[in-house]
Amino acid sequence: MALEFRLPDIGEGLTEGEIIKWCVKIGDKVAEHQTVLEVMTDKAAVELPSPKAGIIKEILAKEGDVVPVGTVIFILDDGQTAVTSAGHSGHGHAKPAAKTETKTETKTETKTETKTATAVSAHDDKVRAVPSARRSARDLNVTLADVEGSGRNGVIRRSDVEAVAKSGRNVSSNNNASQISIPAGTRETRTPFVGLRRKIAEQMTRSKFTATHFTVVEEIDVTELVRLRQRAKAIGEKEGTKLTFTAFIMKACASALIKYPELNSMLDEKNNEIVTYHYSNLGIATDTPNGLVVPVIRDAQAKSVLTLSKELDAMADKARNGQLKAEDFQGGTFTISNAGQIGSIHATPIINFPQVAILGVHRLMKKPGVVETPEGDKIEVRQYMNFSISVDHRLADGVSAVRLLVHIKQLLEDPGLLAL
Amino acid sequence: MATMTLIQALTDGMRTALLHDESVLIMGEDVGRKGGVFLATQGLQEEFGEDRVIDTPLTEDGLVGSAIGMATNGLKPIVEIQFQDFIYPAFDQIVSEAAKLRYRSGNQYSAPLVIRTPYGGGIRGGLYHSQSAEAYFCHTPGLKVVIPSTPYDAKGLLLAAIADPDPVIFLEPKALYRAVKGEVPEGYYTVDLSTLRTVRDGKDVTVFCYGAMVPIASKAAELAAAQGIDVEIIDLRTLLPLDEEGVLEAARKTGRVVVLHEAPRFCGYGGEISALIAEHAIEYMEAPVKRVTGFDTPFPNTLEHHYIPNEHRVLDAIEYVYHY
Repeated sequence: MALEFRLPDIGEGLTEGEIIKWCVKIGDKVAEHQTVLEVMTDKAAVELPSPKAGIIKEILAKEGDVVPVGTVIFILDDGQTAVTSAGHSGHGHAKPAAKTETKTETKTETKTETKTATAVSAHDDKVRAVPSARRSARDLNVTLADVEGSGRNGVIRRSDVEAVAKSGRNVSSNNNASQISIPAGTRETRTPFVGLRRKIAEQMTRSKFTATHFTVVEEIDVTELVRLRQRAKAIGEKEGTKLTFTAFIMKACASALIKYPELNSMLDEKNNEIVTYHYSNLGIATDTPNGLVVPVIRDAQAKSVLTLSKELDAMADKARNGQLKAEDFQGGTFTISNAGQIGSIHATPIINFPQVAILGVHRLMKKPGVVETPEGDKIEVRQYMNFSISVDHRLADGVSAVRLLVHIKQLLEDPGLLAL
Repeated sequence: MATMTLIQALTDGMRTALLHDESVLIMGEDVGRKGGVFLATQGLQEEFGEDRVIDTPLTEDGLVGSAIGMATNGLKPIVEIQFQDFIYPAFDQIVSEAAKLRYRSGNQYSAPLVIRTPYGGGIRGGLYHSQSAEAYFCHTPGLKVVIPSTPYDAKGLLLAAIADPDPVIFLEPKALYRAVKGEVPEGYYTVDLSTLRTVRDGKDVTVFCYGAMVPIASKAAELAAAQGIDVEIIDLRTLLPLDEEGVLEAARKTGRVVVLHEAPRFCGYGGEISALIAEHAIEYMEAPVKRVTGFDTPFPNTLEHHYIPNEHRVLDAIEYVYHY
């Protein structure tokens, strides 16, 4: 009379998810489609609803556990079904997280049943790798559990291990001494390193270890843009949107990316191909109470500043209300990170891997500037913003970054050109 | 050098042995006047007389038992069993007596005899004329088991088997008797027992095979080459004792292995190769060892062409291990 709910593949080929929050406890009655838990995927927090009405009989993973797709994470008594499964069964290497198995604190009479269920799948608690990959992993100090297999049914091949070793990712240190443990004091708080923060950490580490970052900075005189925005604001208000600099910057950036597509590309490492995009889906790094997320505005190159502004508003609302869906994060080709409202004059942004470049936008500041007039050079109070672009040097060179920035500079210093 | 079929090379080998060593003799059913059921001994009785090429009654256990007695007393008999399927009446003589004689006598006696017998399908022989029973003999310490696949090897291995001081089961792929031709040196030469032969060099996948399966492996390798898979073919030639180092070296080289034989799979020779690799070369393997074999059924007459592995089945296995 129980339904096993397995962690489904929520996004694009998800292999595991982190349990962020259980919205129910054992014994709770749930309705069909009622949210049972929140899971962190590679890109977003996703709410998982109950497939049926019933009573939560077992909860088999703790908050903070990272669970492979296909693992039974809760058992629902729906009052009718014999033991069946719901959710995706995964790719054959699903395993219950070891911790989950031992820490299940179920004191109901269904305990035996659960034990059997976990025991049956216990043999799957193994990494599937060909023997030569195991040898290679040992020789190269790579943790097999962290390697994605490209073989039949996801089996790890030697080449997968070698690729990871080459990239420098997931190479385990020889001993645990490198794991730093900080003694607890009384004047500190300790917060579990889980959820979005851990996901960001993983993503950033991967990016920093894989992409070969370099950063170029440009100072842009946005005095004209400030004036234009002032005038355009009223139009925006009529249209129901608060025109920000970001919309203009997106427009300029999209134009530049179409002109210099080598920065609007990705490296398909599996197939050894550079994928160049002839559209620009701009990821906008957005601060939320939980941390940084990067929702995507699609086909920015084909949209007006006003449209971009409206879409930004909608996206920001969703982000604030925690309503962003997995698809809102997918398909970005380039990222803009604008912390200018808060401060900063310069940064070395970390690329949103596997994209090739990221644009950092910095604070608007008044400074004395030299203006050329028919009467000669004059010093005036001008408004400036700095832009920094970090680029993966594997795929693009310095000149590409400079060209892109110069193009953006031309458009933003003379914003009438944005209409062209 | 003369070009010969495999069976001509065997005849030439026996003739050479009869000339080379007076203690060599041939015995079997119809080996004399008729020249053997496949004519392997044709003309030898005429040339060497009834004392050296002896027609015997139809009694395999008596035939092998007599040969053991002769062998222990200084002769070197070559026994022909008409089809391997008929060797079972002599099985006790072979595995209980011939194979154990050296051990049982504390190294005082041995039985230096050769039992030649055609094995395998491919000639529409049906249930009782097509079996591949090499595994039974390979399981018996004290025997040697040899299977040639080319005319050159057939003569050289046969002469080495005759010269060997212990009993040798010499299995002849009857499907290849007249299907393969090759250059064979005149006179006496031997091919070392327990050394494998690289039929074709390759870097991606190794196919281990022997006897009638060698040409099948070669056809499969051609098909694989068209897909860019570079297949190495190893002819084992001597199944017992096996060139273990040679097998492991070839397995380590490519990390992807297919074992091919015509005999049924279960407890077949392929399992031994697979286990050897698992024990000593597992860390070099990129894929499981795949076996392509006959089926675990009695040999079927009308379905013979389905039963015997063909190049497409071998290709499937090659692709499987290559893309694993």
